[in-house]
Amino acid sequence: MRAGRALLTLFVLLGFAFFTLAASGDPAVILLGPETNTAALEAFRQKWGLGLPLWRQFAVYVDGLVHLNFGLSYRTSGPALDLVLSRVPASLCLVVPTIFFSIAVGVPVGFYAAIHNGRMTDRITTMLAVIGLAVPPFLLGILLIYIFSIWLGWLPPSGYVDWRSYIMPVGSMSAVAAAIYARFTRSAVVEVMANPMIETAKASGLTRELIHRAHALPNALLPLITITALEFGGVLTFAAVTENVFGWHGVGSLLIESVAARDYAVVETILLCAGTTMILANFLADLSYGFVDPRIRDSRRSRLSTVTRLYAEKSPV
Amino acid sequence: MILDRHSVATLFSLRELSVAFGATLRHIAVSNVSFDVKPGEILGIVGESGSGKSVTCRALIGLLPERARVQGEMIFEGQRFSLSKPRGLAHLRGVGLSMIFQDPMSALDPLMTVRRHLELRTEDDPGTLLRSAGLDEHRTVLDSYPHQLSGGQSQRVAIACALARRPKLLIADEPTTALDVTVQAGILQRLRQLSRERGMAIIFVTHDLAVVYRLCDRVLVMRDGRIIEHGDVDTVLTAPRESYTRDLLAAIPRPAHRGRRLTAAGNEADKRTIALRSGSIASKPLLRFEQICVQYKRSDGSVLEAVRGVSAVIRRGEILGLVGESGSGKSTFAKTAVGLTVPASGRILLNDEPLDWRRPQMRWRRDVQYIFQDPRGALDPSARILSQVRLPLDVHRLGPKAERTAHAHRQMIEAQLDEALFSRKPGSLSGGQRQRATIARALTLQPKVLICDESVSALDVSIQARILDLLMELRERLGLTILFISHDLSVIRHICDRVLVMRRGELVEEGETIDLFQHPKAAYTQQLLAALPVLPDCIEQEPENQRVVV
Repeated sequence: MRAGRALLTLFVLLGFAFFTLAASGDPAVILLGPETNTAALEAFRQKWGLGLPLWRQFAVYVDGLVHLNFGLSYRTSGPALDLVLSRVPASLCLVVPTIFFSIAVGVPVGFYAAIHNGRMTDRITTMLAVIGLAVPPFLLGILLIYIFSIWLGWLPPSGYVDWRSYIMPVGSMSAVAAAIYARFTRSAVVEVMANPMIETAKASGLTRELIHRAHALPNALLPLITITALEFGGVLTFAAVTENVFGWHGVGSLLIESVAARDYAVVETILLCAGTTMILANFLADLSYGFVDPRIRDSRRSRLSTVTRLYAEKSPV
Repeated sequence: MILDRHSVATLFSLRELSVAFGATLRHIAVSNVSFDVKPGEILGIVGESGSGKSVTCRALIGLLPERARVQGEMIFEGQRFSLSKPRGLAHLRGVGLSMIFQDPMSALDPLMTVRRHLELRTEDDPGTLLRSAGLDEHRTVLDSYPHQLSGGQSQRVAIACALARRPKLLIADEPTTALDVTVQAGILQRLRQLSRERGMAIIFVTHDLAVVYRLCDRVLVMRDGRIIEHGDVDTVLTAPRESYTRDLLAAIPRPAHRGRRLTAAGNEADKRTIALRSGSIASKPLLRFEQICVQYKRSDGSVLEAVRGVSAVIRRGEILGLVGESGSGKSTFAKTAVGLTVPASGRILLNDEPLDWRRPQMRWRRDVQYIFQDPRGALDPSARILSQVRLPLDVHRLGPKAERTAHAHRQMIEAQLDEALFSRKPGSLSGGQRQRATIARALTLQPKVLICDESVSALDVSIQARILDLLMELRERLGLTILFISHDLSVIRHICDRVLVMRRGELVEEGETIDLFQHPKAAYTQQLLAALPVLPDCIEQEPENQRVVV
């Protein structure tokens, strides 16, 4: 059931990408250049099967996928999957530290703002978070390059040189992601702190620290799992802009190059990988909801136990 | 009120508490409240909504929101605390004072077992604690999560949490209001025992004077942030000094005044106009339910039988009561009459015409109208009252527009709504006014049957009294037939001619109101009646009020 829905999602994603790409330009012209003679263009189209009607092209492609053939890149003539996989490690090197830092910074900041709800410290942190969200990551990236590479000359501006190359891309991406985490954590914790159970806890003498640790944090965890799933799910693509700015050879920059070149097979393979990781991440998030929340765990149990529990509830105390 | 500050017997005394809210502190919630409590004493605080009773309690324990401006001090076990600095009270919470709240379902952390709730608070054996809160099945409860517990069980767990550090004073803010009467009776008894066993004082806040009578030693009556009256429960409830307390007591339906006006009427003659029909109504059946079964499918695929083969007849011009605790299926059953729930089997007949709500007809909707519990949710917050009352006429396209407006006007005056309110929006109306508007709206179509589903349950007693008076008056004047659903036995006894008792989707008992209340046959009905807290008779009653009109 669940797997079927996932497959359908992937299929719709692929179809949509395929037809919009086809509608927006001819790979032959783009790759060979507008001055190429018609015969060469025709030969190119013949070679890649571009003369067929669009729906047949798509059918051929999907047929290949079923046999785990992800197609060849127009540009390198190599298998698209190999090309994509070769870029994955570089992207992971950016994204994993980003998620780590953004949680490490965003969650405590959001939490701090929430428990000082309405005070000056809360307003300042919230304002910083809004700025973090509002500034586009590429702008931040360019700004960082200007300051640290051009002006101060401390850090390499582009590509991979040594460990210092990570600082700016990870930093600029973390700033945005941390802002998201801070905002979500803040609103989640504010909501929990308004729950009557907090009043009950205070009234029976629990200290603030214990209330924050035992009640507020665990209850605020669910929305945080959701965002982490979203960020991890988009792991291959959400660095696209940053990778481009810092000349980083990851999947993101490959995606942008391939879209520009109408390199169908590569674009579709990236989307397929991205879609699959997104679906997997959501699946993992669902699993961990059940781990955190006993209500969700219970609702997944068998019918029989639900019935007996409901009968137990109905019996007078 | 004069306090004896040096009295050894005083556990706690509150002095000149005032609380104000709002940016300019213009809204004064509590002003100049002082009282004291002796060890082991149970003090009731009663008042209607907005009387400041909950605010007072939260001020004592330092749990008011930061924007509240609190003045005053309390002396607890000889130590003086300023209430304007809630942080100073933090170390008293749990060991000195503890508090339980109205809604037990949200009082516990959904992610934690009961055991962990208790372990966070004390190193004592959690099982013993639960037993002292009256949970005998403590072994299974300990490792349950809150969503697996019933309301009564949750409230007992909350009590166990509050008692974990052996407080000297327990503040209970409407702890049984959200619970069924039978559950309430158990909890009241347990609180009384706890107070005796531990010498623990209790401040019990409630709107229900009958509960105060059953539980408390002394009572404070509050109104608009002030103490109106205080004294022994017996004295205050049988011979109140203040007219406000008298009105409050008079507004509560009780057996001796069955079917009488509850609010002071303009003149004496008016009082007599409302009388119940004689017990045996010879009129013809109007609405008939035949073997109604309703099933719900749960999300996991299992089937819940909400109503199991219930039959009932409502005769023309009668008020039929339908009583039951939460989950008894009473609302589900009644909703089949208007097609809001579709029965799995069974028939509904109006004037011998079967109503098949899968093929609804507009005129059926005109004939049966339904009023819900929460008038706030039943009204559109953005539309004026008049247009909302007129809306059913617009929907059914009855008469020209001017006539519709005129009719809606008349209906609202009939429902005793002030003309000044007609062009207001629901937000600026009080709860009672809103409920009148929904009644007026239901009556614009001149229905044959009115179904009131817990329609007075969310209202203060004085407002409830007015709505009950209104319903009886409308029945008298318009010959309306009413199906009155309530969990509140005293209200049912007050206005209904006949009563049905439901439990777990089944009809338990049916009979004439007086018969049923005096000689209940079913064990469940007996249990319900035994659990119902009752008020003592007032001493100061005008002699003519003693006459029971039946």
